[in-house]
Amino acid sequence: MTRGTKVIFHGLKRSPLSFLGLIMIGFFVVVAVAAPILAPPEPGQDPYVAPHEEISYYVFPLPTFPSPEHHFGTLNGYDLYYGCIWGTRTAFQVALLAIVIQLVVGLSIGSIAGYFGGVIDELMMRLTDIFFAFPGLLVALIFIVALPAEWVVNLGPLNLSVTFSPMQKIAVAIALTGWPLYARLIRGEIIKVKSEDYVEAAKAIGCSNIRIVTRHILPNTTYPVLIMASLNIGTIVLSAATLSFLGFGPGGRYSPELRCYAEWGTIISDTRRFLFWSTTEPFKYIHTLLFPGLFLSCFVLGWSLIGDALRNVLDPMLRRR
Amino acid sequence: MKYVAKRLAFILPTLLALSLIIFYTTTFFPPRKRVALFIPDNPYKLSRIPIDKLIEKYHLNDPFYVQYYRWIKEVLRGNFGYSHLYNKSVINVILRNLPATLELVMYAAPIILLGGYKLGVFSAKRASKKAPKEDTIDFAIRSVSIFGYSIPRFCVALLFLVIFYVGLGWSGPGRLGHEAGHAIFSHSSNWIHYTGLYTVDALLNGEPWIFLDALKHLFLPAITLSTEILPIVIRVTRSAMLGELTMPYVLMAKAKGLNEKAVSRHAERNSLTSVLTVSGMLLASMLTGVVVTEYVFLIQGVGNLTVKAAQKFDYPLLVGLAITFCLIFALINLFVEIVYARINPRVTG
Repeated sequence: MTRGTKVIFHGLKRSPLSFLGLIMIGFFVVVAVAAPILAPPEPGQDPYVAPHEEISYYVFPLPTFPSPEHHFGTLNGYDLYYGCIWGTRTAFQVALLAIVIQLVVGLSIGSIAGYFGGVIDELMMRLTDIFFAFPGLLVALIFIVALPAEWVVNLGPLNLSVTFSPMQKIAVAIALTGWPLYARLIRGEIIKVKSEDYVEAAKAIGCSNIRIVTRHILPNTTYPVLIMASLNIGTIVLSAATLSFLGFGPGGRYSPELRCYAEWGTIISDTRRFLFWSTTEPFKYIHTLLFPGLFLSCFVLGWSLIGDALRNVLDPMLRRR
Repeated sequence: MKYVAKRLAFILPTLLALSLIIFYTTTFFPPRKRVALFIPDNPYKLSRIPIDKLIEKYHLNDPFYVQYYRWIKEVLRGNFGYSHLYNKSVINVILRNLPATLELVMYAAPIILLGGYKLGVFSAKRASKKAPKEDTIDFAIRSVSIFGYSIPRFCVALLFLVIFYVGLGWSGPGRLGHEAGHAIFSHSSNWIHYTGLYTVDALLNGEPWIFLDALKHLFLPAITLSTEILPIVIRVTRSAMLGELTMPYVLMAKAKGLNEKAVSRHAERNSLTSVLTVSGMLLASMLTGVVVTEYVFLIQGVGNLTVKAAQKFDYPLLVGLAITFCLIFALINLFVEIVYARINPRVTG
């Protein structure tokens, strides 16, 4: 354990809220890993689609209340408990996919800009500024609409064809709007590291540019970037849930099969129909909102709590440098 | 003045690049839909024309930059194409929906900016007084703001709807109640649409009850809109204020015997700039919030329009909205930068 990590752990231990956050995230990790045990899927079926009754767009069963058989009750003929549990997995999946794409794009643009400097730097950073300045969710929305379900990239001999599931599409769209953060961070780090002696030495030996960047500079800049990336998980999941709530997720205009996709935003979007069912008993079906809403809120809250504490710990460290 | 010109010169290429990106995404669309980008008229009149004739007629096979040039020329003239969803030209649809959004933002912005700023300053003052120890009220404000930041806006909005609209029957979704809507839109009414903002129009028309009705419908959406943004303002103000309070000039002022209020006034003015630096982020969050809030509360503004356009694949409308948002965004950012330069003359140098 390096000194930096020790300081971070010490700081985290001191703040009770971040401890709460750690517990929450730990809970979600356990739930995601143990999902097949907690809510066993039906064999031979896609586990991310909750087992459901026969449904169509026009005929749908009313929600039922929590019972020993369905711990959180049912909605649209599927088990809410199953949806919430497997929704945790979906959340982590979307976040990981989005972060990987963001990192790849951000790292390449940031490192090229930072290492070469000059006109290239200026151009790339302006592009980054443009993306950074624009409201992420709206750009993501346009990307979702514009992205075809099957994306064929024709690069001469290399003919790539990528098929997106609705959730992957959301992750890609979010990633395409989120990379500027990393590009800026990496560029700043690289400019800082570039003048270090070991980079000069590598240059003097005659290493190629690519080798210097990938072998010498990037390993020394990954630490802050990875912290930043992990803190963004909450925001990414929130954006993804918002997008699928607005009807661009699996539930929206795809097959009725996917209406039962285990994703918190999709579930909450489905509850809207029943929340305003009767004016005499307004809170009759509120549990269909509360359970997935609680899962989503706690997930985001956990990451923000950790992020807040980490920022407090890291700020003085950053200032000291 | 030179600074303003420099910022203006920077904004033009930004807008150009953004419009290029937006136009590039339209190349993914099918040709029959793309035609609607170029004409101000219903493209389904053209549905009898075979597709290759259509492509030829509207030059959809031209090189990308030629098409872009023709398109941007039309856009600059105010022609964004035709919206099949509303059977109107896109610019009309957007202009008709803009006032609702403006009204919502008009009432939410003071809550967010003033409320957030005051709370942040208050929190920082409490924290700095008990410096090494944690202040309970400061801690409470901080934790509540983290909670507010984390709970998704659409969950808050739905809960509000269920509790206050369905449960307590305060008011309903939309911008106006039944009676007010009837009073405005019935044939016999002599309502004059001055601005499209119902609260303003009601006062101008001399109908205070419609003003109250509109206000009642705006209250919860405005609160919902501020849930995710208010915490950002609080946090930024708080940390800036805390930073200022440790500055030598504050110590100096205290040593001179200046009273508490005067000292904090100095620090407050200096911490104001930091809120302006995150204004871009606030604005982005605001636009996102407008989309969600309008969608849940059924307000016919541009946010709701965006969702509908995207759901129903109304590409010209979506592209027009994107251009509009870019424009609004760029203009507000420009405005903020000029104000910032005014407050903090160091940046112009």
